[in-house]
Amino acid sequence: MSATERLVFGLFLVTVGLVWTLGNLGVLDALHLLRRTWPLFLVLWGTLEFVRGKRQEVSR
Amino acid sequence: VRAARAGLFLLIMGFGGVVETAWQVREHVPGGTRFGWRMFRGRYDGPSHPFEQAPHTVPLPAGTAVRVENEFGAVRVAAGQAAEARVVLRTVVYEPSAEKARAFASHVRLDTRTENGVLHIGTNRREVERGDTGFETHLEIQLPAGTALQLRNEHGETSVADVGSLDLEAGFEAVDVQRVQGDARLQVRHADTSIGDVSGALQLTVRHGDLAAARVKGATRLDLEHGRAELEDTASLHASTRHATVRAVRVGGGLEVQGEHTEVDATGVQGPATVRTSFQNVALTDVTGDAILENQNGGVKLLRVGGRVEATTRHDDVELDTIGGPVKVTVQNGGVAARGLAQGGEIQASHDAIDVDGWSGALSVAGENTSVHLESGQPLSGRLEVRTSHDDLKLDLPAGAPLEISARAEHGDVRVELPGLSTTTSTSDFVAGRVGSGGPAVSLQATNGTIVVSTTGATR
Repeated sequence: MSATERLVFGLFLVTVGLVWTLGNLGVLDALHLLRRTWPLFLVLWGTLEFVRGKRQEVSR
Repeated sequence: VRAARAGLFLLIMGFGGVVETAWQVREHVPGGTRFGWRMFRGRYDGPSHPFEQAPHTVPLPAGTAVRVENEFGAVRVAAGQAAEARVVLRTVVYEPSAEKARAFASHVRLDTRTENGVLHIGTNRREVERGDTGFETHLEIQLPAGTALQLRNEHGETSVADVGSLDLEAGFEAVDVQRVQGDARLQVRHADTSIGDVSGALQLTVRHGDLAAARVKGATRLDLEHGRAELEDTASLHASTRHATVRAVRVGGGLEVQGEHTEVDATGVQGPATVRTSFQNVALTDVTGDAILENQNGGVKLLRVGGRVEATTRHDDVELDTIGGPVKVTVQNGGVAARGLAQGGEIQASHDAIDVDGWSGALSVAGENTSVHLESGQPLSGRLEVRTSHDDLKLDLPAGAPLEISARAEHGDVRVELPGLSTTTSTSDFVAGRVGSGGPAVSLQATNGTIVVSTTGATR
């Protein structure tokens, strides 16, 4: 697993865990928030891959 | 790296799928929970507030029929005073706010009108219902005893007592009907049904629910799918069933079951019994008439049948005990155990054992890859013919019983050990002779098996 995937996977676990906990505490509607924001994990991952690719091109 | 990347992608997409599905269920299944209530298994669930209206009385001339329609909520119909219908409406509003619930309930009212000699009782649900508020209308109705009643209730308990005739369609909650003076027709879905004391005929259609019916004086016709029927003290019973169980005790007329994947257990049938089913067992006890059974892949058990028996099955066994008429039993890949056959009959089986203990009259037994054991404590009173293959044939008869015997084994031995037997031919594979001055013919034939004839009890 590359550093990018590890970063995305870690952020995914932390975010889902936090939102779920806050939802259980009654602070927010976890399902509502996760339903609206889960595609951002794909956006984040794609952005990181894009940046990493650009950096590799520059370093060559 | 590729596998890790694919795994992470699937994880995120799978998570998104679960979240989307949970959202769709919460938001779009009727009721959901967004308004503080939800629809669960056909009924409202959540915080609610009941509101009961004052009793409403409607004149009901003698002979006027009543039709009740309700969609959500219990309907109870009981006997009341003569010449009037008394109705109490109780509205239950599913709404967290008591003020909003009260305001909503104030718009719900009883709707009664008489058309073409029929009193219609219902509510104005269609006028007031809206998506954000769930509500039930519970109807407590009192009618003069013996009133003809039509009742439609979709989502609520239904109970009816002391009516003249009944035409009922209901679903999703229990149905209870007691004391119908005339005919009753019930159509019930997704609910259990209990019925007692019907003076006329009973016609039942039940889907996905259990049924208990007792004391029906008229003919009962049952159409049952995915349920279990317990019937007691009925007149004739005709059942059409799929994926069901039918248990009947004391059937006053004939019993007929046309079933698929249906277990049948009936006791005390006054008349003939005809059962066709598959993949489940059939047991009939104390049948005064004939018993005709066709089963596929299921066992058959018959105890104390007064008339003749025709039983067919495969891949399971047939058991007969105390049969008054002649039997005709055909089993594929299964055995037969019979005792007390008063008029003999024909028995065919394959790939299992045939065991007959006590019979009168002529008896014909044919087995294929089947061991056969016949035992009689009484002298033979009719012709006995037995054939089998690839297994042994054993016959036990009382000492000194007169008979004429012919026993032949192909690729096997014959031993006839009856006292007083005088043989005309006796070789290792064929014996012919008689006991006494001769009697009923006994013809035994085994292929690739041994025949042993001995005195009853001698080999025990």
